[in-house]
Parts: sequence; C-alpha cells; structure tokens
Amino acid sequence: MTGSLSRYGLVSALLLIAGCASVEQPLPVVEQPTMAAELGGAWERDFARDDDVNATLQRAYRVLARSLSDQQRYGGAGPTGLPAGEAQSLVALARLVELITRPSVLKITQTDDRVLVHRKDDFSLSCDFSAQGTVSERSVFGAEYCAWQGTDLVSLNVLPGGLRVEHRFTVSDDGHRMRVITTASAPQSRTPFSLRRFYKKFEEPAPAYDCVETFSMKRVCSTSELDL
Amino acid sequence: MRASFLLLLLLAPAAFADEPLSVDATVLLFDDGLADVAPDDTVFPAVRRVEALLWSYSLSQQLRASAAFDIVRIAARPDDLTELTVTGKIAISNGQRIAVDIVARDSLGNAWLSQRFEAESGDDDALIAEVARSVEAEVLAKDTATIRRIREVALLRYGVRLAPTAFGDFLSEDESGRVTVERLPSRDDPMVARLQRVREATFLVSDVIDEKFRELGSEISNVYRLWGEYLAQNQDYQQENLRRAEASDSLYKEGTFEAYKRVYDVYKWHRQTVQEQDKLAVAFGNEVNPRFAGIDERVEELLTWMDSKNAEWYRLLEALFEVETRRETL
Repeated sequence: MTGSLSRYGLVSALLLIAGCASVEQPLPVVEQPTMAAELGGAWERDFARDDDVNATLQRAYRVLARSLSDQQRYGGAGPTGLPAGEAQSLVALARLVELITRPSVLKITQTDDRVLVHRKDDFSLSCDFSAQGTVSERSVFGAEYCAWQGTDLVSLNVLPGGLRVEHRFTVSDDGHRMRVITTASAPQSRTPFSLRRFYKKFEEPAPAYDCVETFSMKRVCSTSELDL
Repeated sequence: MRASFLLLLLLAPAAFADEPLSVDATVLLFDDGLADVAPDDTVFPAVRRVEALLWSYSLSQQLRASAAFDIVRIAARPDDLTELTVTGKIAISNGQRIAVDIVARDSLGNAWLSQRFEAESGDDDALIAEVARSVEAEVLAKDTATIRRIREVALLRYGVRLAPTAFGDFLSEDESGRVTVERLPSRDDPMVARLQRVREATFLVSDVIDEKFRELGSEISNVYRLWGEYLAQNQDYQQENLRRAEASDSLYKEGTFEAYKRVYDVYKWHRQTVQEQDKLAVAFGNEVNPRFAGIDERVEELLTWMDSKNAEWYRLLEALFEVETRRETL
C-alpha cells in the first residue's frame, strides 16, 4: 500500500507541476455523479511517514538547477547556479506549505454533495458539489475550486498575485489511511513546491452530553434530550 | 363548542350599534421571500423566517398605536373577515440592504397601497415605521362613506362564505377580485345580527393566534437583536479584511515568504469570517426553529378547529335562514 501510494504520489506531483503552468487555469470539471471516495471522519498525522521539508526542498532545488542548467546549455551559456530570486521564492513557497500543513488533526465532514475539511488555526476547505462547475467560493480575496480527479479530491485556492495552493486528498483502499499532497506555486518561482502529509483515521470518543450550538446561549448541553 | 350552544348564540337578540369609523386590519405574516432567492445568494432561512415574523409583528404594533385602526391582528393566512389586509414580502435582506414589498387591500379588493420600501440593514425599525405611516396615511385619506362601506362589505363577505343562500345576493365579485355591493341588508335583519355574533366568536380564535405570534415575536426579538449586532461587527471585520488586502501589495517584497503569507492570511481571515457566520447562522436556526415548530403546530390546530366550526356555522345559518324564509312565505 505504502509503495503504491508513493509511486502514485510522484506521478501526481509531476502532473501537478505541469498543471500549474497557467496561473488563471482553474481545475478541470470532471463529471462525477456521486462522491468518488469517502473522506469523512477524524484523521491524525502519521509523522513517521511525512516528507521531510528540508530534504524535499533540496530535491526541488536540484530539479530547478538541472532545468536552468539545461536551458543555459542549449542557450549557449555555462551553468551559473540558481538565481537569487528563484531560490528565495522556492524557499518561501516551502515555508508556506510547511506552515499550512502543520495541523496534526483533520476533521472531515462529507455529505452527498459537500466535503468540509476542518483544520485547526486555518479556514475549512469547502467543496460544494451541489452546483454545476468546480467553484466553491469566489471573492476579491481569492477563489476556491474543488474537483474529483479519479478518486482524489482536489481543492485549489487561487489567490491574488497568482499564488496557488492545492491540496490533493487520496484515501487508501481500506479507508484507514490518507495522503494529502499540498502544492504551492507562484509566478515568481518556476518550480512549485509540494509536500506530502500522511494521516491515520481515528475514532473520536462519543460525547458524554447531548449538546447543541445556539446563537445567544452558545453551546447548550444536557444529559437528556434538549428542550430549547 | 357544542352545536346547541352555537344555536343559542345565533338566536340571542343583538344590538346593532353604530360602529366607530376606524378600520380593523390584519397583517398577514410576511412572505420570507426564500422562494425567490438565487442559489448563490447568502441568505440564511432561519434568519429570514424570524425577520418575516418580527417585521409583521412590528408593523402590527405600530398600526395598533394609531387611531386610524380599531383592532390589528397578525394572521397566518388570509380570511374573509378582514376590513383591511396588509401583506408583505421580503424582497431583499442580504446583510447590506433590506426591502419589503407591501400591499394594503381593503375588503372591496381595492389596493390602497402597493409599494416597495427599502433601507440599509439594521434600519428595519425605521423601515417598518415608514410602512406603518404609509398605511395609516391611506386610511386617514379615506372619507367616512368609504370606511363605512369596507366595514359593511367585510361583514357581508364573511356572510357570503358562511351563509351563501342568505347573503349571496348582496355582493358580486369580478375576476380580479373586485367586489361590488349589489344591495344591503336592512339594519334589523336577524341574519346580520347572527352573523355578527358568529364573527365575534371567530375573532376570539383569531385573537388567540395573534397572541401566539406576539408571544413568539417578543421571545425571539432579543435573539434577532443580537444577530443584528453580530452582523454589524462581521461587516467591520470584512471591511478590515478588505483594507488588509488592498495594503498587501506594498507591504512586502514580491516572492518572499512574508508576501506569500500575507496573501494567504488575508484569504484565510476572509474565509474564517464567512465560515464563522455560516456556523452562527446554524446556531441561530437551532435556537429559533424549535420555537417556530411549536407555534406552527398550535396555529395549525386552531385553524383546523376554526375550519370545523365554520362548517358548523354554515350548516346552522343556512338551516335558520331556510326556516325563517319558509315561515315568511307561509
């Protein structure tokens, strides 16, 4: 299982890099009559399997350096290393991805037409499939797109200035493990940065009280049936 | 109420006193307008439902305070008893603006007022006060004969429904709902006196329904006031988010972590503000929906009871009319 996930991850990451070439290109609409996978539940990080940020950054450096070197060689100039702006931007994207993927628990609620990924200290990723198209949210602050690609759920945030943050959720066949590849890209860096985080499903303990959120009384709890 | 009691009520003598020249009005629960909301609009159904009730409640309270009105009730559905019916439909309530379409129609079917009233969100008290002033002005502008006529027609319309054999000839109605008085009953017509008594009994039920809505309006007005305060605060947050977004470009050098983080954070704050609002709207619904469910059930019971009583009144009045006309013929 681990091996197949990793191989799939590499292919997926390469596809992501290719897919991020155009900044304004949203996710392609994939006709998906039902939810392609079940993501609902509570997920905790499996730190042992996570990508190491520094090692991943070094790999991205090497890929970028090789690419620049090839360009310069075919252009007639010798290799001169990474331009400072490129290096700085790649590190910046890596730090951003590391920051975004920090939460150790994800709580996902999934209904017939909606997936919500709750993350601590961040907004919830929202995928609403009730309407046509892939846009879940759009405003002057940015846009949020969602799509199923095969059995992967892909959430893409397109932000001002061309910054893009994409999350690709893949659940294992037995439904107990999940991999999330988070990729950030920006016009200032020709190479996007991707990081993989792995999660294990866990059962949350059943609440001891019957609680309901109210507006004026906040959370109201009772050991018996609530009568508001 | 048993049939024998109803019969006694109908046969008791009645005084036919001159009525004061103000009108009775019914404010129908406003249409929440949810059927016309586009799927992309951010409208919270529970909030709309509360607005529909509270604005109807507020309008009825303000009309009650005016000398132009005698009795003002809130009702869940139109009826034939009413001298002046005020209907409202929420056209806009999106956190920035509010608009209601108001129609005031008399018992003859004439629209006295058909107008959209608009204001900024949070100014609903002022908006409803403006509606009340406009409706009141229409009543005050009518002459005595018109007011007397709509009062008479309201009673006769009720009579046509309950005892069509006795009252059917007095009124005619065209396709658009306009009513014409063909003739009037004599002032000492015993059927009219009976009809007035039946109407008084029916009004008792209408008063109970009205009271239920008033209690609910009073109960949930505090929750709605808190919601209004929250919305105002939320708008401040969104303005602040906009200001931050506009300032982001010049704050940090392009391609740096600080610049990327700033752009991401501004989006994050915006989404968190929106998602908090969604969450609180659900909490608002959790708080008010059980109260609505309770009153819906009670009002439905009362209306069903009233319908069954109306059927009984119908049978008795028609029978009495037949007995009396047969006696006159003999």
